[in-house]
Amino acid sequence: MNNPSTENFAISRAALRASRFGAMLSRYPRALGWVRRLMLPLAIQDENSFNKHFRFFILLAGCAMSDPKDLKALGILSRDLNAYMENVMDEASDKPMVWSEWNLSNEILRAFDVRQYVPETFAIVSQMAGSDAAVEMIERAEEEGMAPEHCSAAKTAVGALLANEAPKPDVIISSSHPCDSVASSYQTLQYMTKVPMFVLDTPYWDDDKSFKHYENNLWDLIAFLEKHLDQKLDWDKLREICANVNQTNHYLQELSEMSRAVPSPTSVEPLLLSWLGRMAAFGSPNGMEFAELVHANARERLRKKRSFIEKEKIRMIWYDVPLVFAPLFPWLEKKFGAVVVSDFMGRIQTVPIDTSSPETMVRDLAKTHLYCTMVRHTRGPAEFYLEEFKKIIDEYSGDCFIFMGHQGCKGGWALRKMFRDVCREAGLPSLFVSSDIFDKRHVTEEEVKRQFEDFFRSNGLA
Amino acid sequence: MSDTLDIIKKLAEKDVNEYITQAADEGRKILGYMCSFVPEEIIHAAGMVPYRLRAVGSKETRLGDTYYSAINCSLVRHIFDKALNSEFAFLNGVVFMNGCDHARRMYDNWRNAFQTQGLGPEFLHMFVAPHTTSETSFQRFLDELRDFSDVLEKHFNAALTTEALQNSIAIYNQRRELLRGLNEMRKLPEPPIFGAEMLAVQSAMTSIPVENAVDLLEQLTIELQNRRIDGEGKLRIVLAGGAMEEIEHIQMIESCGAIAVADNLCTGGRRADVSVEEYGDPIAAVAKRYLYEVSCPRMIDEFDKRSASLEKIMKDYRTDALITEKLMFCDLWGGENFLLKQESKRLGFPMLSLEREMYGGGEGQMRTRVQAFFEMVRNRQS
Ligand code: SF4
Ligand code: SF4
Repeated sequence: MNNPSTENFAISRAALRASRFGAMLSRYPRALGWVRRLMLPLAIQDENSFNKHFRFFILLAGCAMSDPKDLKALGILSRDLNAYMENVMDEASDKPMVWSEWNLSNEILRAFDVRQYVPETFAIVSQMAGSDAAVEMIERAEEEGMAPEHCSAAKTAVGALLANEAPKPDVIISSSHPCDSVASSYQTLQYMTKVPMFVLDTPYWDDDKSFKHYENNLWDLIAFLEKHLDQKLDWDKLREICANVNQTNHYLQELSEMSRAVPSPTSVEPLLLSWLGRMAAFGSPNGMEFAELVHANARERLRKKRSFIEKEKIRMIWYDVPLVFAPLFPWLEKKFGAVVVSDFMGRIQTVPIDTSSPETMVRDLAKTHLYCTMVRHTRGPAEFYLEEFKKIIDEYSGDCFIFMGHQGCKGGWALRKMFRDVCREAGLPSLFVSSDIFDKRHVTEEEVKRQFEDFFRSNGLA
Repeated sequence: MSDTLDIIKKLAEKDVNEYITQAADEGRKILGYMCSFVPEEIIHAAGMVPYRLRAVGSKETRLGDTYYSAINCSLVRHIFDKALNSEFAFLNGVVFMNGCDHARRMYDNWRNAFQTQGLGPEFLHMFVAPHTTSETSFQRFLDELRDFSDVLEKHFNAALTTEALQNSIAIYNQRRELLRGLNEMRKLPEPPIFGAEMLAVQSAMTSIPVENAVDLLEQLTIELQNRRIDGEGKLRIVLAGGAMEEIEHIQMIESCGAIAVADNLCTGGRRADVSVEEYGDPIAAVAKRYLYEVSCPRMIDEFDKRSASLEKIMKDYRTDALITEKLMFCDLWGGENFLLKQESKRLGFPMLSLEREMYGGGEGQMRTRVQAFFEMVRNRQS
């Protein structure tokens, strides 16, 4: 196995350029609105060798996020995303580098003086760069012998390490959630890098004992980080971060709720963006400002009874991860007036953190971590998905359910009958798509689009 | 020839056996379970018979597939298919485990089938084991064992006393000691038993009451004293992997010119011979054995230990090569295979990875791969 000793970050640098360009444009949201109008035809075309370079732009500016005010919010978020990438590539830095799994919430880590890298987000970064590097990295990892059934996010993480697109870690933090794939791939990453790794043991249930167990894990994590980083956790900094997290969650949770209105004043995009932003901006002032702005914009639309997309016709409830190798949402919005009113990834459902003492913070952080995207649903019994799903059906006036079944998520696929039953009982048409978030070898954009067209037509939705 | 081995092989081939039927007739409750982390001693101490669920005898997954998808593990689909076919109707309860994403979903699916189709039994319990071996995890596991004992006591109106648990530990240790004895014999240049036969022994022992298992193993130990397999020209191999119950698959491998003298399979010999301490707090002793000794890829912080243990097995049993066995879509063993491959390069032992669907055929192709692999190993040796 190639044991990487140098870093070249070719793809990350391209992504950083794209992101900086986007941030620069977002300073002129009105002008950007015009550019977007000119580029609109690209948004509904299948991706080709030309427009794939604008993938990120089309995904964001091509969709309903293109309201100038929302684009401004995007600019705020990209400050942190850019800083994150700059930090990752800062080889001269003497700050320790901590790798942290993408489903972990990193408030505690941020209260140390470290650089951080989220291995799975390499795939997202490469999509931002308009490249097909995610597939290349997946192939690279598979050629090296990594199991094809692993989540493509995990494979890109290993591929990125093999391709010298990852910084050298000093320590790794992982967990036993949300799936076997992550649990397994971090053993691989640790083996390849040979650095100390801390694994949080995720409880199955949602009872006091389970929360307490995770809280104890967080105390162990703090001890591990203090020992291996030779630093003390800065509790004041953590308090500040938690206060920002509380505010951010408050805005995003309300945003999740606002799409109950018909027409919906918001959609999945700002929530997915904040999910992407977690790696860089969670608990930061910019992350909070982003949330505040998208919240205020949606509230304004709600007040004026304006929809997020031009003509809302189909309200979709979305299970699991989106496809990110092609801008599917703009196409759904433009072609069918289809908007995601609730989804399992972006939707925020959590509790506030009591910042009065270290003990209360760690206690509540344990809860907020366990209520995070993916973690909240995947780690426990079927009810963790289905009860929330039934509530969404009751409250969000959905016209259909889209089970975007990612190949990695075996635990979700094992519940498909139950999802189907819930839909049948509720009289909700459902589409089950066998897909892969990053790996377009598994299913092509055309095939996914064909399935949507057939589904909408056969159910009288289009 | 060994009469007892024949009896045991027949036991391994079927689900319901006379020992289980007899125990049920005597009023003992039978509790199915899914994974090696479920402590048999506690079930036994509550007066019940732990019974490991297997896919044996299953021909298809048609019903199982109404719940599971094609990218779920075939072992789980077969077992659940059998459940939906009422082939586990003799069970009084089932204990599930958060072993992997596929197996733990059976807890959900079985409950759904119970609610919607009346599929019994009523007692369906999720036993949760940590994925790490920290002190925090140990304390949590200890608590889980206590809760599990309470649940069994309450639901089955059983009295799970300390003394009962000590007795159960003792008898399970007896079974382990006998298995240890058999394993010792497998270290001989001419072992008394093929790997396929040993897998049958290990499988059968988890599907009959432990008292019968001890009797059979004692008898088998005597009968194997004078049995020897001619090891001349045969490679000595070790098997590692997840669930494996297809005896004929191991027979196929051995027929290519090898004896499987050791294994680290979920349903085979993985630490099956490691005893529980018989002093101190018995619950803590059970916790220690199960949390620290049954390591498999679901334990995230222990690969180094697993690798060292495999290295020791290879040395102790003087094996020539490793064959890993993985079911399709098993992420955990997919990851472990990758790491073992790296270890095989580092430590210089030959390794072959086989992948299959449980009872899914494809033997011809696999035979060719095994033959080519053995050829390579022999060439390397000469
Ligand atoms: S997307 Fe699915 S398979 Fe991938 S990390 Fe999340 S839960 Fe696991
Ligand atoms: S073989 Fe793998 S996927 Fe199947 S039950 Fe065992 S651990 Fe789970």
